[in-house]
Amino acid sequence: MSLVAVLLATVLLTLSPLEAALAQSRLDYPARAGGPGEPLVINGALDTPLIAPLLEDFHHRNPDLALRYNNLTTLAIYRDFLDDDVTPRPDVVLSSAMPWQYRLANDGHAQPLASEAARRWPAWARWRHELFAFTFEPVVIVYRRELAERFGAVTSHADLVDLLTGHRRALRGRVVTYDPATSGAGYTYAIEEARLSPRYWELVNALGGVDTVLAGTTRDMLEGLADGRYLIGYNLLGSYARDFVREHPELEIAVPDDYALVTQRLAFIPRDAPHPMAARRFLDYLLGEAGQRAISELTTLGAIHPALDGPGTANALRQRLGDALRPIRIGPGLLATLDRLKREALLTRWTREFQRGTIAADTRDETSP
Amino acid sequence: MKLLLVEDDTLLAETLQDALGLAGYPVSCLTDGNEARERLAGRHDFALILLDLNLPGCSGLEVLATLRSHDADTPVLILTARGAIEDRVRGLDLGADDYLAKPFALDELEARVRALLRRRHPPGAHLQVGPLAFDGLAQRFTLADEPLNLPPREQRLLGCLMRHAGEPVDKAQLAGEAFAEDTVGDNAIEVYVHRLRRRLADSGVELRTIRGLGYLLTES
Amino acid sequence: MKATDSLYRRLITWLLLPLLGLGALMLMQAYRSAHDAADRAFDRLLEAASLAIAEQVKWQDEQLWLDLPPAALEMLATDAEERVFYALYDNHGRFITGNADLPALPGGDDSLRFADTRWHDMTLRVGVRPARLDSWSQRERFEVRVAHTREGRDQLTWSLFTGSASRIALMALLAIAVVLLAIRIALAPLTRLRRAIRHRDPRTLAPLDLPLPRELAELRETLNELLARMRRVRANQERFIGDASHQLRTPLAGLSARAELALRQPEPAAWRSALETIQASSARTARLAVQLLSLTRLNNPEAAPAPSTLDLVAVARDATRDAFAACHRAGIALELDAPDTAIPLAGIDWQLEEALNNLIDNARRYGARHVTVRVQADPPRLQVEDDGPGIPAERRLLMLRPFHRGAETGDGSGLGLAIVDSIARGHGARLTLDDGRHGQGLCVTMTFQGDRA
Repeated sequence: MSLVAVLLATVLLTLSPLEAALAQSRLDYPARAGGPGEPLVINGALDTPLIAPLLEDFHHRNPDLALRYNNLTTLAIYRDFLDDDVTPRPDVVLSSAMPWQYRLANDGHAQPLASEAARRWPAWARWRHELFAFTFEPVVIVYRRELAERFGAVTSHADLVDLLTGHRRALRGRVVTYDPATSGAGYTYAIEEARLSPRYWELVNALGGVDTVLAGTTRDMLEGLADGRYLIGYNLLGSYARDFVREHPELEIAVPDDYALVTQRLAFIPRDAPHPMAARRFLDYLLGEAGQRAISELTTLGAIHPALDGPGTANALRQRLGDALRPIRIGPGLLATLDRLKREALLTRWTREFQRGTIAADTRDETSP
Repeated sequence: MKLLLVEDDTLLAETLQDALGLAGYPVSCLTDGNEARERLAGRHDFALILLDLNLPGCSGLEVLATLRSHDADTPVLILTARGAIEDRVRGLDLGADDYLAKPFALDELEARVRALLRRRHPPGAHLQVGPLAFDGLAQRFTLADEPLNLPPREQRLLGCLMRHAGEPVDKAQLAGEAFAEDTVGDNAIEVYVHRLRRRLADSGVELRTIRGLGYLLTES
Repeated sequence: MKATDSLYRRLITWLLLPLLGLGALMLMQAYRSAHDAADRAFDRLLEAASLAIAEQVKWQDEQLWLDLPPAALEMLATDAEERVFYALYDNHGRFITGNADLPALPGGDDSLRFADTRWHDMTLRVGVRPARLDSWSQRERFEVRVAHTREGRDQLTWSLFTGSASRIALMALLAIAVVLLAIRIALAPLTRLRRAIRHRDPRTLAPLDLPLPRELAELRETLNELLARMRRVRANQERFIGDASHQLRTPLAGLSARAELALRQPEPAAWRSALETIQASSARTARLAVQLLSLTRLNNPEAAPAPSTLDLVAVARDATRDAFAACHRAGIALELDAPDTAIPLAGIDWQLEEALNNLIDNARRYGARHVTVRVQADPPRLQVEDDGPGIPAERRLLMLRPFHRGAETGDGSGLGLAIVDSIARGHGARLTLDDGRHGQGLCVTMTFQGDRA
């Protein structure tokens, strides 16, 4: 039955873009054996193909529960959560927008999970037993193979800056990155990098200097890279990139080795969840070895569980990159990201630096022979 | 009138037996408490019982209790050597009529015996106080062998006084003993006494008023 | 209650209960001070965070501007992962930016203040920092409010408190141990006293000689005074026994000698005269023996019966009736002068009867012809008045002592008045000897205290 649902979703996907969009926004897994009539409602900001294997595995292990997964944008997840009129109320909320999830939890909307899995979860991957990170997704650089062949591999931010400033003409308009003004993820990465890297504004400058295209999603960036429109993309979501690059061998992923931001998807169970028992079972699954193994083997999201160290897991990445890994801290610092004035200040500066880079580049072009 | 003496001291017992015998009261003597109890268990013909409290066998009080369980009439005079108040009180509570502490004078004993016998005087017997006599059978008073005619109430009064001759009797006692059936006021008693006094004037017997104690009929 | 049955337990209760009370107070104080210390420590975080934020406030584009440093917020969350809130208000109380609408705190205008507050079902500690812009052109006031939940503070309070509490508990245990030991040591003299008294020969009245602390020394002295009084009483008793044995043995010797003599004589007339003497003497000796026994019993406080309520008039009447026959036979006029109403009194009826009996008997033996027993009320009084020879005034007090006789002749034993005196004293009554009517004879009065019924 579940397989049929997935097939149906895929068929609808190919039939029409709108329907595909609609079909992609929801997954249903009816209960097989006994269980409550109403389905467990999970709101998430993860594309259905990526989360489907996980949901299937959970459903297989818990046939008495009906599942419904709603794929929404992170903004929709946040807004709908705070709007009491929107029904049904979700039982589990998953989102990659760390500051927004943190805000909801900080304001007291999450209920604590007091299970064995929760207690064993590493402290850096949770907040107060209310908010749990269940993936480990580095923010990566993706480039076309020919770029590496022409200019050498890009393994660090320093390399990137050198590349951008050294080969401006060749790269002009062929670089893509997140637009911090329109993308929540992009904004979050920008603010984190501004904080942790002293040369960030230099990078922004350099990006401006090559007239970098500003995109709204990682998918857009990946498609552009696959098309050949872009040669290199900066700050893409590693999980999506890995998945995409599997089918596009002409692309390469580089996790910068001087510092690499890591974003984590955060999950919580709302205090007013209609099915708290079922919600707890799902979250226990996500944090348990079974779920994490599923994440590790069936998805590209990166498992955190300390017992796992296959490729893509947090342990493996740590072993490879050590200190360079900079997971975005799940702490009150995230609230600063949401500050209105801070956002205005950062965006203003970002735009200024970006444009300054552009102007400087133009000036150089004009003055050089 | 036969008396019973229960006393274990030989000297005292013999002396009392002799003395009371001379006074006209034959005395039987027992020396043991249990014997006394057996003897008194059924009917007997003693007019009075003299009971020592310190006896071998069982105590005098137990003998008294056994006696009183079926015989409320025979007067009992307790002789006690201990002189403690407990014996006296218990003895009187158990039904003894009088007590005498040892050592006592014979006179005293004889006087009390006579008083007790007079009080329990059977209706048909004879009373004598000096020249005044009362024939119980004929129910007639005589003074110096002359018949004394008295109205019924004065008769009852005089009879009561004669039974208690030698002891003062107060008005309450007179009212209770002599006039049990009707209620007679103090004033009435005074009047009767006054009349009796006049009748007995210069007779050798007088009816004296003892202040605080009552009226006394005695030989002058 | 239980406090009366053990000095040890009493001491323990009164020492340990206050000690425990103090301990409890100390625990409360320790908790309070742990709470205050934790608050002071954590308030430093609020202070630092609010300062870090305040330093980033500037004036820009005609309004207050804040470049919020994330470190300021991270400062507010410790290992306890507190919830964090911040807000910036202008000097009109308008919300500029923040993640919560934190309440204002009442208080001084320019000072940093802290308070606990309830916000959306959470207990927050709020710190409010009033500040002003420090630029050349702008002196605009603003307020930075920061808050966090209390988990970290409460954990610190608890750990500080448990540290203190365990120390207090340890000290309390030590104090209790010390108290128990001290009590045992302090009460040791009592144990010594107890043993010393227990090991005494019960027959001895020698004083207790034992070194004791001051408080017990007073007890020892009181005990020794009692023993001294008992020695005096015993001396009196021994003197009495000496006198009594003399008084008994002499007439008994006389009796047996007279009988012996009579047996040697052949004439019945001599026997008769001897028997008369013997009868009189033995009667007298018998009376003496009875009175000795009576006096002994009266003087024995352990056999004292409990007083009951009696009617003085009834007692007098009974005694007079009892004595009437003997007086009547002796030709003595005995009468009773008593009111009709009862006179209630607390006393022992048979003792008062015995006293009256002794007085009437005395009057009879010492030659009275007319004896009056009188009862009066207000104060209650018993009186026996006779018309006999009386006692000269100067010898009256002596008569109350045992074996003192008015005249060497007479049938009295010398104990009668001593007995009456003893009975009077036992009833708390006063005994007085006066002249009888018309200055002749004797009038003995027992006056009881009024209102004793």
